[in-house]
Amino acid sequence: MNDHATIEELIAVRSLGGLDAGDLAHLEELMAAHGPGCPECGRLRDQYAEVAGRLAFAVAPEEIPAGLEDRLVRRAIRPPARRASRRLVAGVAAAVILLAGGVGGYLLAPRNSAGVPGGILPHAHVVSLTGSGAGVMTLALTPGTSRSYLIGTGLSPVPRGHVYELWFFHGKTPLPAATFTPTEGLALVRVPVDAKGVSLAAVTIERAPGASKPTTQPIYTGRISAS
Amino acid sequence: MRVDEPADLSEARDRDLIERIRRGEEEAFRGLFRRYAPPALGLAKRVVREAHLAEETVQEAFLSVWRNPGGFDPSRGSVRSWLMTAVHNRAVDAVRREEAQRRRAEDAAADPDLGPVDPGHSVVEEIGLFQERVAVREALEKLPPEQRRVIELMYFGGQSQSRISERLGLPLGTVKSRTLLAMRRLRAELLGMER
Repeated sequence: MNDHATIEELIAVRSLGGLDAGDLAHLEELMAAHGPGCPECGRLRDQYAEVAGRLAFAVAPEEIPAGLEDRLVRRAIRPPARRASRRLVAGVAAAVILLAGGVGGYLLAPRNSAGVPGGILPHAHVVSLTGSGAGVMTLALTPGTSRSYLIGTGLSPVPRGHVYELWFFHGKTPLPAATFTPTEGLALVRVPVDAKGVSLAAVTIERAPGASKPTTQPIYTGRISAS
Repeated sequence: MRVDEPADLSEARDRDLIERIRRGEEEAFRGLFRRYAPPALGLAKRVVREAHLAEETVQEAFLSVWRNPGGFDPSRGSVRSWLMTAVHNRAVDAVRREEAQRRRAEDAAADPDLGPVDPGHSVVEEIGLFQERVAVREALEKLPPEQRRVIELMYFGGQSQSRISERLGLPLGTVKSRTLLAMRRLRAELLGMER
């Protein structure tokens, strides 16, 4: 089976929510090899996503409970955060504090912290994780060490009794890397697992204290190029 | 699939709502909710099989639209598909998290029937969405039974390919190939595209 034939099959399953984590990693690898601009990959992705989205309309609609709309709008349109909270959010969201040997600390790409010295640790590799999850998640990796960091902002709370879990994929094999629970949508997590040889990072929601293999579909993923 | 021009007025209206939501207009958000929350709730209930969880799923999906309306790319598909995919993704995640997932999936599999299309259905729905429901149902009915079964378990039951393989006693490759064949047929029926 050639690449696009395999890709098409995996995309068809993924569009319906049926893909297992290992095959998801495989699909990511295949599509990454073709590059983000591959027209055939894009066509398949968009067509099957459109078909899957329309399947939703096969189900009869349900009456919306009274008050649900107003509750939703209140959740969506919140009052502005207090100034002190804003500073906290900006500070944690914008910086990763990395210790380089015994020399001291460096801040990675600070945004709203004027006057704070900044710089990128020479061997850090930054990966954005994207997907259906809310907010932003970023990995700062230092392969060959056990000092990588995960930063999350604007994250949705996890259901009671559950945690976010970070996975490092070596080929199709997922290895648990870290678990965490955001506080007010924020997470700053040291990842004690070496990222050397990792091709894909993914985040799922699992029952606490975490799982040995992913049991749900990833809500964030990010390719990690070889370095 | 490029959609440079809206295929119909319905899509044009949806895109206008998204554009207004980008500008932070609450009324546009309410408009999108009123239009699509009933089918979204129907889908969520069908997948997660629990009313409170279904409502939470729908809320989370619409919140994600409010927080990131820029996530919709008009060159890639319709607003309605994008929105329903957000609902479905969250519903599937909820199903997979539940300890009773296996029992729920078996219940869903035992009752795959989506029910008759009833124009007198108590929920008032726009004629466009009713016609969409008819079209999608007809497309599903045209599938060979073995392909339709896989679609029902995977999409409407929230089951993974491996779970379906286990449940139906089929090789994983067979589940994947039936899924692909079914989706190709649905693509031809619903999008008028053979490839």
